[in-house]
Amino acid sequence: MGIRKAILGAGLIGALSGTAMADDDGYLGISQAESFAKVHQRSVTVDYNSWQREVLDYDGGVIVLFNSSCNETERAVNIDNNRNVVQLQIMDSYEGSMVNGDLLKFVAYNVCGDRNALKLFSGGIQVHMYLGGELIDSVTGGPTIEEKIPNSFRATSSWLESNLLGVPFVHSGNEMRVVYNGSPKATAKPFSTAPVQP
Amino acid sequence: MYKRSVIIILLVLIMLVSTFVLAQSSGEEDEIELDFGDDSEETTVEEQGIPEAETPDAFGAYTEGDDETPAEIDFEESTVTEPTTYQPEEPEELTLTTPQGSSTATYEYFVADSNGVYEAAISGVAAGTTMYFLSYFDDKIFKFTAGEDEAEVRVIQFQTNGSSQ
Repeated sequence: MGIRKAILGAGLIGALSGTAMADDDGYLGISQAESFAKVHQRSVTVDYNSWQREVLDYDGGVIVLFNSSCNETERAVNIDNNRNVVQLQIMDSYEGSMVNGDLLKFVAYNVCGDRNALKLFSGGIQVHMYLGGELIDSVTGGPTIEEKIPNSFRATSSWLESNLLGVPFVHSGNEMRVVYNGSPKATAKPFSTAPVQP
Repeated sequence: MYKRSVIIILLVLIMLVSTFVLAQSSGEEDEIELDFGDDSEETTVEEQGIPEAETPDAFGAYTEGDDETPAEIDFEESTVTEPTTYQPEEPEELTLTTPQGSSTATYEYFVADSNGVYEAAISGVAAGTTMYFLSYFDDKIFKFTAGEDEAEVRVIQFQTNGSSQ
């Protein structure tokens, strides 16, 4: 019962303080069950049947997190939890952002027990980026330990900004965009190739 | 005169080839590896609890390995058409009996509509216990294994047609 109260309480605090949560978010140390619940409370939760309507038919930018409520190993629980926390921090920072005139949409897909999900992603915790119904890029995996969450947040933030918000990632003085190509490793391409320009 | 023309043509060809090769190589270098120090790793389909293709339907018998069978939970209230939260005045204890023995859990509440159960909160599950939830929605069976670090109350969300809690 205490956990449920904590979830409701934290949700209320988040609603009241808005982006201030990004600075002192209070997510570190929460359980995977809590981070999962928070992500789905704050996202548009989809399944295979609502995918077309919520993702493919949306003209603006969409960030889709494929997570699971029934990970079967401690390793997967940790990685899933850390990616959930990164997603919550990203939502704190970018909720309300506009992409090509539409609100940036955050979507969550619980893949637990759902083989249909494999028609939409290749498995493992992943984040997909869509624009105008087209898949722009995807990230696989998440931080293995909590201490790396800030690094993952910076990477995901740069990924989102340089692809959807028209903000280049500056690397060695050059304007770039961050690209994952479905892997856990980030690469940089010239910003001129970004789908959204300033 | 002829030799000079050949040499000039050769030089022009060499310059053109060099320009092409340089353009190609600079294209390859357009993609630069970045290191944000996030030490990310992938998880697998199996780790995420996505069943094998041969998993029987949600209403049939289900086994995984030799030591687990589902407990039957009868949610008669799932005939309702609007999502409804069922919460007993006091948390109710469920006894789950399997051929390998029985275990107990306490459910705090569950939410159901005509598609079946799509959210439940349970507690008091012994670490390592595997529970199965039958949902009518999309013919799915949901598996939950309590880990040692389980929260006091575990909220389980089942997929519905677009709604979120």
